[in-house]
Amino acid sequence: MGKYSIWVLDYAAVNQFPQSVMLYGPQYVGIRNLPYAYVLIKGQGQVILVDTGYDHKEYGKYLADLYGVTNYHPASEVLGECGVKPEDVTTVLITHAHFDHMGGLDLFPNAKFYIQKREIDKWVWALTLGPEFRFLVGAADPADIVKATRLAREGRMIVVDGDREDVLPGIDLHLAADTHTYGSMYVTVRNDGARESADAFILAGDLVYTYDNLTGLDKNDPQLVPIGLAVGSQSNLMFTSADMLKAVGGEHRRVIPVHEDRLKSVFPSRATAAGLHVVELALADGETSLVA
Amino acid sequence: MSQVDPLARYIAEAEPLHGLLRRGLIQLSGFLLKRTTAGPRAIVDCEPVEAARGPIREAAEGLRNLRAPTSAAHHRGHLAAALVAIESALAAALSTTDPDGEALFHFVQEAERHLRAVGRATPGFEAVDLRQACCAMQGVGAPFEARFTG
Repeated sequence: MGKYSIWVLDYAAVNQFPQSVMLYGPQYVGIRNLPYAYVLIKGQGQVILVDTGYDHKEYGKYLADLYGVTNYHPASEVLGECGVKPEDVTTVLITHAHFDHMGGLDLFPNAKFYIQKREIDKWVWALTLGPEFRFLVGAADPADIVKATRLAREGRMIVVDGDREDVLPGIDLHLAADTHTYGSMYVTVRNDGARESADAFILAGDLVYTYDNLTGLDKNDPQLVPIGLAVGSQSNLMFTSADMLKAVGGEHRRVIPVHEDRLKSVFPSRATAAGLHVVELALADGETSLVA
Repeated sequence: MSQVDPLARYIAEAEPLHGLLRRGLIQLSGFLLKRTTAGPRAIVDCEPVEAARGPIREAAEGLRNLRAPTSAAHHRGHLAAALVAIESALAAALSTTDPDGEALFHFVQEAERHLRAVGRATPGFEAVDLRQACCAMQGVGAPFEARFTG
């Protein structure tokens, strides 16, 4: 039991995602299922999301047709599995500005949003480059920029410059500069509240796609293997992975890759009627399990 | 001699103009976001605004020559309205009389609304370029040779 309950909630999936993007290096090694997911953290009077998902009504069909993104379900339905409504969400921590992590900015009308200053500054800089540099921008939706601006004008978009401890009690934000994106952020939940926590979880955004990024594929010869997609460097990704592992005492399972299909077998979980999964990382004192 | 369908020709000519408008809008809205999050006393560089000028100018020239068949008049109307809004946003971004970005925000929203309407009406005119979407980038490209020939 801890201060917060933490659930990973998938809301869509790409059924045939190339492993070579998830793990830098090996090519033509097959495909994996890649869930799209966000994280719900509940406790201390807060309802917190790590990332927002994307806005299906605007380009869901396009994604489905082009890339095989399947089984999308809206936040109202996904959060409903945990008895939460989108309007209950008080805080959203955005790990990075890609469409599947930040594309739902207007779905949570009462939330405050936190994002790294570097992510915005460098994103805007990359947007000034020509279309031949569009790789650096990922999928920038003008609507997301307008929505982010609207939130900033309302005082609901808070820009964080580097690491910040206790953004909420026991929850820390960390900048992972020049990694997957220019200003990616990971979130540490110290669930016992201790500074040197023995019960920490790290919500890693896309800094790792799979546990294999933390262990390698050979259990007898473990290594860090960066993801295959970076605007920064693979070195930075590896050092960030090492930092994250150190913060959880080397316990790999506590560094949470939200796109990892095997999360549901590492932690208690259940499938919903829609074929999505609720993965329960931790339960706060007094909270009832949603997967039992 | 084959006749080109006027609607198909219009779509082919309008698509790159939509792309130019989209680029201009992204740069102006990015500038606005940076300015808004930087706070009232911060100095924000105008690089995105400068970068927006070229695409907007090209889009304006292209739209002047773009002929739409009757069935696409409404579509062209949205593109033209988006251009007007983006040009107004550019003027607001350069203006010294819009210190809190009120006008810039208004015109950016207006332009985004029109471009999204175009995207809803026409496949291939999406407001967001998802070809580089990070968790969905396994799309198959054109054959190698086709990328080097006209």
